[in-house]
Amino acid sequence: MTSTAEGRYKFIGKPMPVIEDRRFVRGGGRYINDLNLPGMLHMAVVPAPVAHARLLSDDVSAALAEPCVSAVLTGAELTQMMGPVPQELALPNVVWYPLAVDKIRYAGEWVAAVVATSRAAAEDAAELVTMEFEELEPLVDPRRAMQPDAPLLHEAEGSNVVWNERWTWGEVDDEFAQAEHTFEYTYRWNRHSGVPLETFGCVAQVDPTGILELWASHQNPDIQQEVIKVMRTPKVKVHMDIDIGGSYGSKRGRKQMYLVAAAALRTRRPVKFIEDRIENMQASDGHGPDRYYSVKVAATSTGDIRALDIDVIEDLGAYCGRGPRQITKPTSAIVGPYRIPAVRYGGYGVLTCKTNQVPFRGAGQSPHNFILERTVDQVSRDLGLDRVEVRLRNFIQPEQFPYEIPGGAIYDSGNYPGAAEIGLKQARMEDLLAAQAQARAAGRLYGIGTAGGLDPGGAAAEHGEGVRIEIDATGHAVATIGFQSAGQAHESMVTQIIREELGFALGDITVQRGHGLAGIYAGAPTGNRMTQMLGTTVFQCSAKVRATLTKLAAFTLEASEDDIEVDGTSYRIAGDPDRALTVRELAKIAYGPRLKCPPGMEPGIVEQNVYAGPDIVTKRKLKTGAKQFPTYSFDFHVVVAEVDPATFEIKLTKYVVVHDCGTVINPLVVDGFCYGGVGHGVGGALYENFAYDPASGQLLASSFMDYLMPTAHEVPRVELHEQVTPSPLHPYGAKGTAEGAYMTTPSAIASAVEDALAPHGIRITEVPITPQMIFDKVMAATADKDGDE
Amino acid sequence: MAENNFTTIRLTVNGKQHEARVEPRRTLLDCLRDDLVFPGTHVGCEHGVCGCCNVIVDGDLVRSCLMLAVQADGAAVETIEGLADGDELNPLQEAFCAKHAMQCGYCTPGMIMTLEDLLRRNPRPNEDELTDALSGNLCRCTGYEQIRQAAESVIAAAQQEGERA
Repeated sequence: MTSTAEGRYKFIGKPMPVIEDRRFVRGGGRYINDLNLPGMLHMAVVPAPVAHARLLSDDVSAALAEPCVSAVLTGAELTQMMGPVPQELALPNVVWYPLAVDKIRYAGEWVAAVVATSRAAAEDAAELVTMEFEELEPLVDPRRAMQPDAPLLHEAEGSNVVWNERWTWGEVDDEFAQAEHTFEYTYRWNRHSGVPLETFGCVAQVDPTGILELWASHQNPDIQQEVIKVMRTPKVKVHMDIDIGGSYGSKRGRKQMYLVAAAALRTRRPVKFIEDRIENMQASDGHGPDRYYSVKVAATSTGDIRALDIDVIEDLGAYCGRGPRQITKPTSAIVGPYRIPAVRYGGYGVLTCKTNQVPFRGAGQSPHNFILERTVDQVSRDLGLDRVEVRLRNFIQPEQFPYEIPGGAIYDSGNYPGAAEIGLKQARMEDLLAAQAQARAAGRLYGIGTAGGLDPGGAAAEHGEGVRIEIDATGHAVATIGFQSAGQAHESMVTQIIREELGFALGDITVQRGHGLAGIYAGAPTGNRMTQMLGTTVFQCSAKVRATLTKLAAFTLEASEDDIEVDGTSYRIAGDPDRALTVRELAKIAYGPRLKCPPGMEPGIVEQNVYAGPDIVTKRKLKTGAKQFPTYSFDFHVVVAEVDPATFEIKLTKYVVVHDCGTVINPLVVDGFCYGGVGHGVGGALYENFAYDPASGQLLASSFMDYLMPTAHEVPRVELHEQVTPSPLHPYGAKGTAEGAYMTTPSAIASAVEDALAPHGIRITEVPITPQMIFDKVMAATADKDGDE
Repeated sequence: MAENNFTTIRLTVNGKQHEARVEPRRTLLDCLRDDLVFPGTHVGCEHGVCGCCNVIVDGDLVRSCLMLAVQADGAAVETIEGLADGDELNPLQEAFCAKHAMQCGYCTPGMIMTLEDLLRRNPRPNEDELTDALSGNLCRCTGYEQIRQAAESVIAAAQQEGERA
């Protein structure tokens, strides 16, 4: 259990039971599948059976003739009803609609949608849709898709490569020319993702006044503006009062929302679509990064890393979607926790026959942290140096903050050696080394891994975050926020800050969620953003409320505002405690006859606030390609892995985490993010892989039988420790968090497994690390050895 | 389109008699959620892996996505909605809140039903037995640690109770 800021605050830093949990434990969460509207129809989709084909025709007449079927939508029809789905890059020739138009670009892509009185009836009719197509070569490997003779996924674009940049920050070429040692490593990060247990779902209807209303398990409320643009109507209302059953960045089914909106407009009835599991795995545009890396390193004999030259090939999937954002995110923390003075970073974003990427938990920072930490380990081994020593000697030192990295981003604060020291001490490193020596002598494969991980927080800070706080006539506080949550306990955080700042009792605070027409300026809970952005805006808005209450109290008590002292919900004259007013009394005045209020004061107590982000984000110019986040959290992990010498099964027998996200607001919540992040990391490191068949392009992991997610057997118990290095950019010193543990775990596990396999001289350069992969490497290493003899 | 072939089933849910007219292909999960309106039981994978839809049927833990509604004719079904007594949560529900044993809450009902079933059969499971029981349910948010802590706190309380008795 973490604990922080003891004594400084009444509520901040203390575990506060999470408000949302009370409804969840009773089965009282209100998820999208629980929403049923009168007269509602249901939708099912028709998936493409092949990965790449020219769609010659589709015949929906038999489906349409079925009883209970109201409509069948096709891609061609959608092009008449709506604009294409917007993507990260302006690529007019990469046109994306919710249903395939003219071409099928991945197996499982939706070709038609059937709307009927029940999901079962819609599925029955969907089976009657037939299509004619001419098959083309499935493009599964982006390296093949980059070849000049590869077929084009989007012919008009002229290339399958849609993103190609390269940036140089610092004296990279000089460093390599003068380097004592240079090394080159390659890495492979296979596709995995959040895979929430709730699939994506959406309900749409046109209300009696003609407003297109949408509810969805969507994590980004800023979709409102996009719906207006795509559906070509200003009358849109995206509701934000749905509980989301997990997202981790991956719940952003934009094409699904437009498809359901089109179905509702077409039928003039409410329409519901809930993806089934296979639809979700194959076609929800929810996969994470999928990368091939080549990394060159310049280093000194003593292990100082002087320069990195990183080349990445990112397999984006069939449409550009929001994938390119994941390639560029790491430029905000390109050197991780290390003092590396020069970096070149660039590569290719390539279209292939797979579902689109989405910025999943860390938006591409996790693979980047993985290649940094793997590279530190490999450089250490290749120079014959201790991995921990090399980490320590390259760490940015505590007195160097704020620290500017190549490209210009500035880390706010940190103490990386401090975190490492806690981790090594708590893990009892010396005991572990002794245990390892003993294990190795007994023929066991026992490995110790260490890794650090930078965790940028506060994505898109420059887009601001809003809140409205009103004190109603009975003296209760009502805060309205402009987005919905997927388990981050935002209602609780807002409540906790209002308790701290305005002194309200728990039962006197209501946090509600607005909708797209509620007038709340809102960003989105992405990129460790909400402690920074929502937390600060609630802090600032609370101060406005306090100022209004103070003004009212001063007027009523006939005192100057400077003489008013605030104690919880009591506003009194300093030194005269008998002359005091409670918030309840002040509210009665504010909503009562105007004569009792200060002249010029508006009736009621309603304050709005939009926090626009710190100056470091909004006012500094970075080098081309670089990105800045407001805060930088840090994780240091120590792991013990044992590999079975016969089956190569991997077991994690010890897991120690040191987490530093500055001041912790609610330890219960932050602890949960750390434990859960390790869980996701274990999955990505050892099990999860959206593997595609190279010949047919079919997704081989489209159910939970073959996309393997870790259970309580696979996720180890975690010993969690805390270090607090406050951020100067937050009112409480808090930093964004929630992604850091996930962004460090794969590195730490790979480090441990590689160490376990050191007797075989094997390097780990790919995740997931499977027994089959180790078997192949051991066989290859043995063959090499035999060949040498 | 399948021929409509409805069967009337009678079952108790959380101690109360219910009746539904269902097609033979209707799962118990869909019947509970959509016909009898117990939305606390969640749809996760619909192929028996994740445990989001776990309910207790005649004293056995069941994946309601893998059981047909017609098979539950005459059965006594318990869902997450039946655990609390008015405003008073049951000990597992209280412990889940105290330890924040969830984030998005989607797996929570199934997770609690699994543990409820375990603790009825074995009120003092050891760590391995707890892991075995939990391993039938997936959670993508918590890494299981705070769920374990919640279960352990209930087990420890039961242990103390036993020692006192």
